[in-house]
Amino acid sequence: MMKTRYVLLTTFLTTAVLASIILTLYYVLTGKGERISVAWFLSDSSPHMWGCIGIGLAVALSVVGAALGIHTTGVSIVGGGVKAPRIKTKNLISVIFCEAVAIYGLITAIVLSGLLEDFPWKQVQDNPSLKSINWFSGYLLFGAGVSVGLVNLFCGITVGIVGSGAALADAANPALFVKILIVEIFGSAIGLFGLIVGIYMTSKSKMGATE
Amino acid sequence: MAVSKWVMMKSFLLLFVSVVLVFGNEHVPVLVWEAKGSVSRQIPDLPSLSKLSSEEFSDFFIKKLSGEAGPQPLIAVFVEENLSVEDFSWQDAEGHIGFPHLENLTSAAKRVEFFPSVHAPLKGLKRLGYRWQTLQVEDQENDLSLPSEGGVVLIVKLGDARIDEDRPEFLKRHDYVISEIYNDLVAKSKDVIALYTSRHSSLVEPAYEPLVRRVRSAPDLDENAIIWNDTDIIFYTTVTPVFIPNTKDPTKFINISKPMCNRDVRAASKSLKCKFDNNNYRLEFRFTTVNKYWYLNIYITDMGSNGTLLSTDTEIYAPEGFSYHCSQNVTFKNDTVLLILRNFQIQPDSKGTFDDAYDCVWFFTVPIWSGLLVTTILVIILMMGLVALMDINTMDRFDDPKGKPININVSE
Repeated sequence: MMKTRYVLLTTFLTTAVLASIILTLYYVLTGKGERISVAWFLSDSSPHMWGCIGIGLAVALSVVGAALGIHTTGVSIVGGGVKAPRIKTKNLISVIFCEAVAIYGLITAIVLSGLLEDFPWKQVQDNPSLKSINWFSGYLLFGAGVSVGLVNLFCGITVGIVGSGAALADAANPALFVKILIVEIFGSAIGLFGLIVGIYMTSKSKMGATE
Repeated sequence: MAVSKWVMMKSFLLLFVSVVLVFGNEHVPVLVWEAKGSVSRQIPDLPSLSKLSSEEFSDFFIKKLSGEAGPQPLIAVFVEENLSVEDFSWQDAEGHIGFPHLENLTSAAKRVEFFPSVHAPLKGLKRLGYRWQTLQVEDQENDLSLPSEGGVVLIVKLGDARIDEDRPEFLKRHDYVISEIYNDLVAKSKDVIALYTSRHSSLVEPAYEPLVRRVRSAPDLDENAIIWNDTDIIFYTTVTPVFIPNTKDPTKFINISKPMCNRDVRAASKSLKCKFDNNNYRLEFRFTTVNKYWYLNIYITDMGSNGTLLSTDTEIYAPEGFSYHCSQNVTFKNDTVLLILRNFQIQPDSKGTFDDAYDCVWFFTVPIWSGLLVTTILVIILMMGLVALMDINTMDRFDDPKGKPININVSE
């Protein structure tokens, strides 16, 4: 009996592939191939959707990364602390590094939410330069959110695994902790990169009715 | 067992369902006639429904036979295996019917009734409570033990067809057998009611009447159809276009359902020019082709002025070899003129009939795609969460199968 996850995965993928093949072949073989148009979708879909997805992913992925990191390192601290209780205070710094990643995501999401504005649909349709500014902002918010979110996701996982190793090494030999902390600092720095890029991207965004 | 239990169960289920479907809703014809010398009976109201259930048929019979103090009749039921209404109306090449003897019997009978569609008539007859006697007749047999007293339902089962005879011959043979047996019965007992029916229908009936009238031939042109065309340019609509030549006076409509249209080809465009209202107005459908797509623009010429463009917010275009169709209101206007088209289809390069249409409403609209995108993202996240939940396992490293189970005292 195969594992449920593989059964689910294969079912989902097979259905998706089959559906897309059938739909695509229908359009291509009836000569309507040009109706499958990514440009039409991108130019007609609302920038609010992209912006909100970006905001959601920024905070959600960051928190997932932080949660996985704290899970990994927390379990090691608790386990190692049974036999070597002296490690418990010093190793909380690993948990703080993971938490910082979640804070980066939160800050970015708040900044992005501030940039999300409403715009008059009719006026935007008539005025191509206004439309381009609003669509640009929508994609910027999406890109910033995705970049910050994914960077923080992997940063959080990394810091967690390193922190877990640091806790167990510290429990075995207290002299090792300080050097391992340097590895953790490098891991945390990459989270900052994502934050910087995200904030820089959103500085150009400008939604609304004025050009 | 070589075949698994599950496969057996599925095949039994399939068999059961098919049996129920086949027998569940069968209706067979019943021909009822009374012998000439039979007792006068009250004529019950014939059921007015076209299909009778078993109960309705037996109710009719009970009403027919009720209220008589005299002897009960002999009911002879001639039962085929398969029969249907079409068998009764069959005629051969010369126009002779399929049951010549039966025709004679029923024309000489006191009273004849025919029910084209009854469900399980034999079951209905059981409700009469008469004595039941069954006879199996293959061919004309001389030593049949026919009953002579009344109060009996005699079921005469007619045999199967021979290998080399077709259905009309088979029915004719049974027809002869029926007439022989019937005459024998009437000779012995005057009071006979005879039925001719079957167990199953010989043709499969559809389960329901289709509720939609199917078009069996090409439909005639709708009287409401408005077609403006010339060789390869066709414009079709079912709703008269609304044309207001002066929007400052919005009540003045011009009826433009029957204009004179002709085709005009220039270097860069192709037009259909339509004149109406005594040449006062002229609408020009101008088609330009760019990159294998044709685009439509409508120009209005009224009372001497040059053609001015009527602008619209839905651009009308389609690739070459396709038509454009829209059921919604499409408005064309400039400062003074207003034209509204609805339910229309248009094509500049047709071959007499419209080709496939590009509709103004897409099948997958942008909101649908956006919704699908967001839903996919959320579903992926959900799946990852579920997989993570399923990965939580109990800690069983220190389990000892031979150890004593832990007792926990619960004190009040």
